[in-house]
Amino acid sequence: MAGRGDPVTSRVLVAALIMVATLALSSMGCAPIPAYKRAMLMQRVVHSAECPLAVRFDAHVHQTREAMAGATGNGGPSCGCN
Amino acid sequence: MRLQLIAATLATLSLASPTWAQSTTTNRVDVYSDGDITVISPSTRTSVSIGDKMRVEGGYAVDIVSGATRVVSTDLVSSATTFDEVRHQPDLLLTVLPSDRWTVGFALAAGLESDYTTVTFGPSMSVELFGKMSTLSVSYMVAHESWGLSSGEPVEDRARGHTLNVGWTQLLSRTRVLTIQLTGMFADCGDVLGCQANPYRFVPLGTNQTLATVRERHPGTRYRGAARVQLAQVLTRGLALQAGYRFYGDSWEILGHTADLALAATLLDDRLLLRASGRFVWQGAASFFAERYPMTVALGEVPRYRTADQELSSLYGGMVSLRVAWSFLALGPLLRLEIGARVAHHWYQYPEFDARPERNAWIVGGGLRVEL
Repeated sequence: MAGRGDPVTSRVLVAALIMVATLALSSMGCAPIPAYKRAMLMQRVVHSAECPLAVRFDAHVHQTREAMAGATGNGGPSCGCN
Repeated sequence: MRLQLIAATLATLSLASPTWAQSTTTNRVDVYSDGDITVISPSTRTSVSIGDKMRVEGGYAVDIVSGATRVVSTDLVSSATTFDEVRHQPDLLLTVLPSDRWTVGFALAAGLESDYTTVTFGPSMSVELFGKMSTLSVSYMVAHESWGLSSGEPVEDRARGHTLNVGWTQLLSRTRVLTIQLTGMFADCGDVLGCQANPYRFVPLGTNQTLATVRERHPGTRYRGAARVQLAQVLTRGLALQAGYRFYGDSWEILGHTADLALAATLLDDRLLLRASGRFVWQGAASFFAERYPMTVALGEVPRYRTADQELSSLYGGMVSLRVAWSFLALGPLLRLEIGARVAHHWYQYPEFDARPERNAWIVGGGLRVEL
């Protein structure tokens, strides 16, 4: 069985680092957007994922039919619109 | 083992707070069927705001499971035993807004079956940064699990799990949001059965013919990691696209990839919502998976770790889903009344599992959501 320093763990760490680097690059040059200009992101259609009850049910189905878990991304995007 | 499922779901609930919504109640029923198993799951969830700074959220779901599971006997004739079980899943979530940028929460949940109990709890927080262009979310969940056979030979064990979720959401423009999520999990399950092993499941031993069957046994610890990137793009008013990719790896040498895509549209003054989505998965097998394990008869030796779990073999598959919802606005005392329904089809292929090389399943569900 693999341990913490094994290739699998290393691949996960590499993937995480690539994502962080992607985020850092994408964040560069992002000028603040005033709240009143975020109307497009506040639309219902952006937050149209299933309700938490259905999300929970689907997560159960996926986890019992697959060995994978975590980072499901079911929360939907936040637009900082509060 | 479901403790980390509950932990992950609670983390999702804790972190999913794009807006500070008013009090809401949701009731729905979902049904899953794949030919072998049928699950009927009525559920309810209520969220109540207490002032401007606090929200209490409670949920209750019941899974009524019935079906047949295949049993391996010494002559390798797979017989099916029928079963019925009921699983109760209450949960409670308290969220506080200390300031206009911070959200702090604490979640508590349980899963109760005749032969299985799990309790999960932990804190969560999120903070909006850089002019609310970025949101950092962190949650940590601890789970305690215990199980034992409800009849027959007693097998009892306990497990403890830890789940850490870190999320970062970045506004890239007025119409584009990037989200990155990292999850790390560790489970210590003891040595009796190991993590995620089923006490009712047996594996066949022998090279050409089955010489014996023995209860499956997995490693007693498991490290798991997953990283996901997701992009949401508003195409025009009332039309949005969402695409995501997840990489998964664990200490059982399982690697996996998940890609998903969703297109959503609102019509008729935002009253009608249509959402079509697809999800595609590929997963490698666990290092100790084999469809048949060898045994040295003279010594009576069996492999230390063995599994008959189809989901630990390699697989690929997909899901397509369609959701429709209709909203009534300002209906009497109600701010919004939403009636929704969805239908989804799952399919999986298991190239290394000849006993059942494919699985097809349908999910249908519907519900009512009320905002006060």
